[in-house]
Formats: sequence, structure tokens, C-alpha cells
Amino acid sequence: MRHSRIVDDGEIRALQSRGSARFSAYLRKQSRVTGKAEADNSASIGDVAVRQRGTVAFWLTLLILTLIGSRSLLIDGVTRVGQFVPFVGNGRQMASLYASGWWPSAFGKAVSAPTGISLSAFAAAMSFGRVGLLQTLVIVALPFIGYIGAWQFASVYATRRARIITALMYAAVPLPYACISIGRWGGLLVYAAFPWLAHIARLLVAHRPVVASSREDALDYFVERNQRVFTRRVATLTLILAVVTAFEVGMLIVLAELVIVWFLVTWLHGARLRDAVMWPLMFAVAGLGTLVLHAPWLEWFTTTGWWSRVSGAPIEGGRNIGLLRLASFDIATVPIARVAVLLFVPAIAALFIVRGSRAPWALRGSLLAVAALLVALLDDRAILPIHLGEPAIMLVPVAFGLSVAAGSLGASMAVDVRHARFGWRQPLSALASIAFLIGMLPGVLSSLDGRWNQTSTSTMDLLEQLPTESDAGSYRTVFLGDARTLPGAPINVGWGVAYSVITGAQVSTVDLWEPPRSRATDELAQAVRGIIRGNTARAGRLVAPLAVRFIVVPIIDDAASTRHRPLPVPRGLVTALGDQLDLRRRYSSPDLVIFENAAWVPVRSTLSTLGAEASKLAGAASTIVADLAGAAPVLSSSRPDFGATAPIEAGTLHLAVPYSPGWELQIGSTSISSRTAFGITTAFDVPTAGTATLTYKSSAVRLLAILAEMGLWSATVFLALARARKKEKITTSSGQMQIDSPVLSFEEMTK
Amino acid sequence: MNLSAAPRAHMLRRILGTCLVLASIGSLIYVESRRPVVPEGASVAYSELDAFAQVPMRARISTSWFCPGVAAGDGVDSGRVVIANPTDVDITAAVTLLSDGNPEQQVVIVRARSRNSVDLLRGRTKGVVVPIVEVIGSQGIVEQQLEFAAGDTTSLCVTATSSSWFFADGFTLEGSRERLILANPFPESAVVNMSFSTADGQRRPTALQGFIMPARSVKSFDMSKEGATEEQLLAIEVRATTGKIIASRAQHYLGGGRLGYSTTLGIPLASNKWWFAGGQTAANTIEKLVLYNPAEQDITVDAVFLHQELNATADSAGSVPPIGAASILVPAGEVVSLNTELAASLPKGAHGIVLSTANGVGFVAEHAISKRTKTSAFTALTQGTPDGLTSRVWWIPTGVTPDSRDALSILNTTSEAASFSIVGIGPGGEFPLTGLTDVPLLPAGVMNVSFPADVTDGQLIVRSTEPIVVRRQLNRGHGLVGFSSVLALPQRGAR
Repeated sequence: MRHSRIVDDGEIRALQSRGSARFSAYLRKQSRVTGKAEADNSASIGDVAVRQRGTVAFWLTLLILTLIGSRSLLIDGVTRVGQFVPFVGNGRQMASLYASGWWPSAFGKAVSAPTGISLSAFAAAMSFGRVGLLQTLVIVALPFIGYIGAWQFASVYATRRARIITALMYAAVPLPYACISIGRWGGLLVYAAFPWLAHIARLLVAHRPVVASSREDALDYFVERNQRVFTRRVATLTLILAVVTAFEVGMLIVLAELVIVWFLVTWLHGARLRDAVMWPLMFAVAGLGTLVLHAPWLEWFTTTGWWSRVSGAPIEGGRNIGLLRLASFDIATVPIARVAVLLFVPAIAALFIVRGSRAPWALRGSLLAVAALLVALLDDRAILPIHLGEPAIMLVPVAFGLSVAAGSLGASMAVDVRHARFGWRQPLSALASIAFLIGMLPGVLSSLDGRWNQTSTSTMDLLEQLPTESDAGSYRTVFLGDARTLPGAPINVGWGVAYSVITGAQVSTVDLWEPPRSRATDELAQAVRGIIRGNTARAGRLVAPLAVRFIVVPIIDDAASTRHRPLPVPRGLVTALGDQLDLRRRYSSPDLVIFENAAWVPVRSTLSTLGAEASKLAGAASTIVADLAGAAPVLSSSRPDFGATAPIEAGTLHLAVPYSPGWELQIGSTSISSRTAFGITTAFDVPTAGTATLTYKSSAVRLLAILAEMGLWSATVFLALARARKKEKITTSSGQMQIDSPVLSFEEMTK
Repeated sequence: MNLSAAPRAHMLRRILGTCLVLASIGSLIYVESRRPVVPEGASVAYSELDAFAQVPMRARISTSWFCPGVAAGDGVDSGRVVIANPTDVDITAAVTLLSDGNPEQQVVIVRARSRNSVDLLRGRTKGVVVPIVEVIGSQGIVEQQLEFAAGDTTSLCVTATSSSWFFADGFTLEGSRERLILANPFPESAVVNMSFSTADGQRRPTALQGFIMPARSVKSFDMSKEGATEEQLLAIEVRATTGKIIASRAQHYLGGGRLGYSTTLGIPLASNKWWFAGGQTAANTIEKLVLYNPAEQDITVDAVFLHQELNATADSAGSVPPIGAASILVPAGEVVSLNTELAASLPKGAHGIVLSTANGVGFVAEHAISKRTKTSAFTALTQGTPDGLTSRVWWIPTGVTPDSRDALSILNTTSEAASFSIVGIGPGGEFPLTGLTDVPLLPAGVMNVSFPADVTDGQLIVRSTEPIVVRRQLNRGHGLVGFSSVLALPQRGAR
């Protein structure tokens, strides 16, 4: 070929694209289409479009601020605060846990594991076992994903200026930084996913992007739905919803707010009912799909108390954060947080300034922000008949609503402000701009800390003083107090007191899902009620068969309760615990109080003779009048949900787990049948000493269900990612344009 | 100018949308103005009256009873805890004995509508033993009984520990011995301070400050050896600065005008009002009210003496006017004794007493009756009922002495006319006692009830239409003259 080549190799290589040609082509197409559309739109309204260079500068600035704000997190790691707890084992162990059919949270139960565990196992596998690093990167990246989601949603405004303002407002709200500060996975996930869900739903509802229109034309318009991408978008919507709800079911509550408000606004602006109803319909379809994807996990939500597994433990009497703090997203340590309330000014101003086809979006944003804030405040005061999610989640629609309204204001700057006759709109928009700039300060200042004001030491570190499980056997730790200060997923008892249970002294991701109800949790709840109401002085003996060794009352957790803003301990709780005849105060400080149960038995133990006799009874009589002292730990395992093999003596082997026939014990080749102990737990009467093998056997039906679930997830992912081979026709406000015709033809060149 | 339809519709939509937003803002402001509700937490788990002897008012998972204990070295013949079951189902209880050695535990079943007892001494002749009785549920009632040559005693037990205990009436004259028994039933140490007041003032011996009570242990103090020798007035204050304990007194009277033996738990709280139902004015009888002021300010205690004779005449308000009154100054930290006859010139007969302070400052009071017969003498000591524990229902788990005169003293603590009924509990359930149904009781009146020889020896319940106080008078056994005195058990919440 050398003799027929006209140009040099270097020149040829310079014309070649680096990396994936297909991906590069996709980006160029998106940029060209969007930029063209935005340029056309800007031109039609007499505005000067923001150049692509400006967009790049904007995103670079956001990225740099994110990295600056997260520098200490990336270098030193994330503190174990709030829900930021270590993963339970590596990917293989998590996968094994998911498939085992025994969920070890609290006291354990034979139920399907939450879908989130399988997703965590997958993510851990993808990280090649670097789960800590994975966790840190996800925490840092989630807010950025939210910014991008807001940008994507703002494509409805079809101008870069509006998209920048939308994304900037969403980033300015200090909510995600507060979530990082106090360790709230749920808030971060919802913040990241909410704009994406709104964006995809907007495409499915087929709202037309905002174009120039008469000022009186404030109707909603719709485009023809593209059937080829409809299935893909529904699958994408379902997939995102399923992934988020796998970790935070409360997402459904805030989505309901979005659906109700935007359906109302859409209908109000002249849409046909069948178009307006697409809002709830699309989410209903996605919700149904989500239910199918979580099918094995659904049994958690069919028992009493299922609502608290959706929204979290209720706070008796309400959280009482207050309107000003909620409106300024002041749920954690955020510098000058109250200033963020000024971010509402642009949203309210948009109601009055924005006109034309942008007006419905201004109302959507403003009404969503204010209505969601009202719902959050009603829940804050415990006025609603049901309790809702924590503020970190409930304020996400407020943040998104503010950004949508601000975006509409940005989109209308040229038409409704700059090119309009001078009047009250100009000063009002100037005021809104100033308020926006000042309102951004808390978010910006949060980044100075380097870890978004997250504490570098955790109160949970104080639990490291508790003995290791190898010393005297595995044990459980119960946390009692205000639900907001408790690690794991608290369960409300009443009278302002909640509890959570972990195995050992360290919280892990297993403990983040509220445990399903069992006879063991009922027994603990009864004992806790007995403490709170003064109905027994022997709560320690009541919970002894459940291996409860420590009862901890957290006071300062450096998240919800800090030294500057402490949450009061439920009245009389520590005194009531001190009146228990089996609890000794092991540690007491302004941060937490630790009581040790003198009557406890290990999770796996051989009972004493008296204990073995008592285990054959049920009810309070079996535990309160019995002295279970003398139980010897056996069959220790790194994880109490895993099996174990070890030599044991003859006697009664006791497992401090709710009775389940799935637990099997073999001494040599002899199978020992199980029985209920103390009316709650599991025991084996071992006739002779020998080598014991303890295992949990799951049913074949459960394994089949898991396989089916994996197949459904795979199918959903495939549907969401598959691209149609045919080219799409893009419709802009100025006419049709096909982008699939060749730029030049060799035929033309050789003619 | 008429607007066309489209702009008008737009205007209406705009107005409606704006109104929705403004209405939401208005709702925000309204909701914000509402006052938050503070949950009660575990505040009901404890009240300051919990450590007084009483029958719990609400259903419980289990009830822990703490009894005074027995000093085996005092020469007690036998001691036991009696567990009474007034229900129609069997109940399970566990008795734990705290002593110098390891705690011993015994599980007992108490059959329906019966009693069971557990021996405390188990052959011991020295040291002290303090029983803790765990009853499953809330229906079982526990008392302690001792048999002693100096006089049998029945003592109340309590269902809660306390960080403070007071004893107003102590006596170490002429060889009389007062022993303080402390028990720590918790699995962690308690730190205790003890002080006492005599006629010479208050003393805080160094050896009695900050001493450690190990977990699940007992200690006893002979007050004569602690510096309170030959004292006619001896008030004791026990305070746990860390933890809570049980404190009781074993008092042996051997002279100085008193003879007899009593074992009582301390008084856990200084109250500003006390009721006594068993007052007596008679020949050769000295009745004293011993008042101790643990506060840091002087107080004046007002004593009002109430009575109801069979032919008593009510006034226009329907109540029986008091038969006497007296006031006595009790300086801060001091103990004083009030001889009722000298103070109020009371007529002969039974009366009730109510003590109170006008300024609401709490104090501690005990009631001592010393009587001399031709051949012997005795002293009966009774603690008062704080105002918050007067009740319409009183329990007598170990019954009354048959063929006993004035076995029960019942005081109406209100200004309303009342009536009371006494029922017994037998194998078939409750049954009324002859002549003791709807017995009238005048406002602020007191009545003594006698029982025939064939009265049931089972559990009794006294029910009234108004809050009352009930005191028992029991034989001392061993052919001894006189009686011992102990309150019945009020049912908390039945006011």
C-alpha cells in the first residue's frame, strides 16, 4: 500500500479516535444533538447559548469541589458513624449469607436475606475484595451522581444555562453533605437516584421539552412516545428503583410525593387525564417490577410492623427539628446552615417570574419543594397518622423541587426577564440570584473540612472495650434509647424508647435492615417494656437465653446526637436499667452507658444441669426463677449464622436463636433432633460426647427462588441496556433532522 | 377589555397554582407553631413511693420482694418468708438468701389461694440472712415472720430498693440492742454513707462513710458498737451514693421502759404527711411519736389526733372533730420525741394520728407504744403510712390472730363518710366475714375491729369506699403480754 498512500502514517493516526470508537461516537452524537437543540432553542428566544466550554468548566468545578470536600475521606477513610458500617465479610461470604436461608440480624430467623445483600456481594466481587475502598468511593460518588441526574432531568429546559442552574441548585443544597456527615446511606442513595427517576419518568410520560412559546401558553405539551425505547426506559426505571429500594425502601415514600404533586400540576395545566395519569402509572409499573425483583424478600413486609421496615422506627412525639432547620437542610453539622433557607427564594420567585411553557415546571418545582417540606414538618411533629422516613430522605424531594424551580427560572431569564419590559420582574430575579449565591455558602463551606464535617472518631469506637467473642463465647449487644442514636435498624418499643440488637460489639451492614419479627424479638421487646414500665427487675434473666450480654444506652453518637446538639436520653431509662437486679453498670460516660447482664449465656453453649432443666419450660417461669450460670461456650464460629465443627461434652447444647428445624446437629454420624428451649430458642440434648457438626440447611425451594430472582435481574439489566439498531429520529423545535447520513462518500471523492 | 378564554384560563391556573404553594407555606407556619409532645420514656418505671411496702397496682412480669432479714446471732428461734397466693392459679417463686456466703436459691410453687413458706435460718446461729423473693407475675404477696423468745414479729417486705433509708426510732438504753442490716442485691458494688442523730445531735462516724457493699452481700452494724450507746433517741440515716440497697433494723428492747423485739425495713422517703391508725391512750401506756428531720431546715410538725367511738357525734360537716392537736419543732438533722398524752391531753381510747408540716418539708415518723402490766412490759413499734399510699384496698397475707381484741385499726383518711368490708380468702375464693360487711366509718374516724376465736387464719382483704389506713395488732407468742404492731399492705393505685 505504501506506493499508493498519499498521506503520512502520523497524519492518519492523528485522525483516529482513541479508546472505544463506539462510545466516543455515542458521546459525540449526544453532544451534537443536545447542543444543536439547545443552540436552536436559545436562538429562538433570543438568548446566547452557553458554550460547551462553559459546561465543561462547570462540571470540572463541581468535580474539584467534590474532591476537595472528600479529600480526608479518600485518604483516611470513612468513620463508622451512623449507617456507615463495615460490610459483613467479603463478597463470597455475603453471597453465601444470601443463599443460606438464615438471616442472622438480631437473633436470626429463617427468612430470605434482603436483596441488598446480593447486590452488595456483587459489588464486592467487582471491587476484587476491596470493600472498604468501594464503600468510600460510593459515598463520595453518590452526590455527584445526583448532580448528573439533575443535569439530565434539566434537559426538559433544552438550554445549557437552565441545566447548569438546575444542577448547581441541586448541588448547592447541603443535604448530601449532611448525609455524609451523619452517615446516612439512605439519604445519599435517594439523593443520587431521585433526579434520574424523575428524568426517566418524564421521558416516559413524554413531556415535551420546553420551547419558546407565547407567555400565555402555559400548557403542558407531550410528544409522541417512542415505542422502541419505551421498554428500555421502563426497564431502566425499574432497575434503578429496585437497586435503591434494596437498600432504602423509604424511597417509595418520597416518590409518592413526586407522583402526586406532578400529576396534579400536569392535570392543572390542561393535560388530558390519560397523559397526566402516566405519572402514577409509570411508577406503578416500575413499582410492580421492583416487587417482582425483590420477590424472595417480600415476606419481610407481610408481617406485623411491616411499615416500620419501610419508613424506619417512629420517633414518639416527633423529631421536633423545626421548620427553620428542615428548610435549611440543617440535619447535621453544616456551617452557617440556616443561610441555606435562602435557596427557597429563587423557587418562590419562579412562580411569579416564569411564564409560557416554562411555567408548569416552575410550579412543579415550587409546589414539590413546599409540599414535601410540609410533609416533612408534619412528620417532624408526629401529626400524621403514620410515621414517615427520616429527614435525610424526606428532604430530597424538597432539594429536587428547588432545583427544578430554579432551572425554570434559568430557562426563562432571557424571555421573561432580560427581554421583557423593565418592571418588578427584574429586581425580583436579581434578588433571587443574590439569594441563590448566598444560599450556596453552606454547601461550599462544608467542603473545607475535607470530610464534609464527618467526625473522625466515632462513639462506637468506645465499644471496642467490650470483650472479644473468643473470650467467653459469642454474645449479643442490645442498644436502648432514642431511635435516632441507635446503630443498626432500631425497633420502636414505645414511650420514646427503641432498641436494636447486634451480635458481638461491632455493627455491620447485616444490622442495617430492621430484623423480621420472631419470638426472640418479642421476648426482648417484652423485657424492654418491663424495664421501661417497671414491671420486672429481672429483665436480665428474661433475655439471658438470647445471649444478651451487654445493654448499651448511646447518648452522643456524633451523628444525630452531638455535644453541641445532644438528644435527650429517654426519661428515666438509665435509672430503670440501674434498678435491674441482673445488670451491672460496666461503663458510664457522657457519651454512653454500658450495662452487663450477669445472667447471660453464650450464643452457643452447653447449659448447666439446672439450665438444662429450666430449658424444658417456657415463659417467664423458665428464666426468671432459673439460674443459668455455668453455661460453657461451644462451637464458636467467626459468624454465628455459619455452621461449625468441634468436640462437645454430653449435655444440652443451646443455640440462642429462634427455634428452626433447619438447624441440624450431628455427633459423629448420629443426627440429634432439635427442640424448643425456654419456649423460644433451640436446643439439642446430646447423649454422649463427641465431635459435633452444626449446620443450617436451607430448603431447595429457597434456592430455586434465588436462581429465579437472579434470572429476573439479569433480564431487567439486559432490557435496560439493550440499544435498538435502527437510528432514532430526533425532533427539535425547528424541524426534523437526521443524523445518520454519511458526512462524505468515497464515491463522491472518486468521481 | 375582555380577555380571551385561553389567557383567562392561564390566569386561573397561575392563580390556583400560586395559591397551592402559598397555602402550603401557610400550613408550614401553622404546624410549626404547635408545641411538641415529649414522650414519657421510662419515667413511670420508678416513683418515690415504690420502696414502701405495698401490693403492686399493675400487672407485672415478675415482682421482686425484699424482706428485712434476720440476725441469726440475736437468738431468733426461726424465721421464714411467707408467700401468699390469693389467685386461683398456682404461682412460681424463687427465694434467694443473701448472707456472708454464696447466695442460696430455692424454687417454690404456691398453690392457688394458699400460702407457702421458706425457712431463712437453715440452722444458722450467727450472721445475717436477707431474703429476696421473685414471684412470677404480680399476684403473690410476701411477708417475713420471726419467732423469738422476746416476741414474735411479722414484718412487711418491699418491692423496690432505695438509695436512702431512714429510721426514726432507735433505742440502746440499758442494754437494748439495735442492729442495722444492709443488703445489696445487685451484681455491682454500692457505696454507702451512714449517719445517726441522738439527743446530743448528729454524728457521722468516719468508719461509716463511704463503705463498700460488695455485689450481692449483706452487712450488719450493732449501733452500740458504732458509738450509739445508751441512747434513748437514735435516728439513723443510710444513703447509698452509688447503687441502691435494702436497709432494715432489728431492735431488741431490754430495758429503759421498753421490752420486746421488732424487725422492720427502713423508711425510704421523708414525707410531709404521715398517717397512723393504731393510737392508744390508756393506763400504764406511754405513746410516743418519734420524729426525725433529715432536712437542712427546721420544721414544725403538726399532730392531729382523730377518733371514733361508737357513740361519737358528728359535726355539721358530718365529720368527727379531732380530739387533740399538738405542734412540735424539729430542728434540722435532729430527732425529737412527742409524748402524745402530755402534748395533747387525749381522752382514753383508740385514736388515729395525722402528722404534717405546713411548709411541705419531709420528715420521718415512727409510733411507739410502751405498756407496762403487772408482770411485764412490751413495746410495739409501727411505721406510718405516707399520704400517697392511703388506699381503698388493703391486704393481710398472713391473716390476723384469732380471738384477738382490736386486731385491726382502720382509719378513714378523708373528710367523707366511708364504709369498709373485710373478706377472707379460702379454697373456694373470697368470702365475707360475719358482721364485717359495709361497716360505717365516720369522716376522719378510726375504728378497731376484733375477731372471734373461729376467724379464718387465711388471707384477708379490707376494702373501703374511701382511702383508709389499716394497722394490725398481733400476738407476740410465747405467752408474752401485749402485742406487736404492723401495717397491712396497701394496694397501690386503689385510691
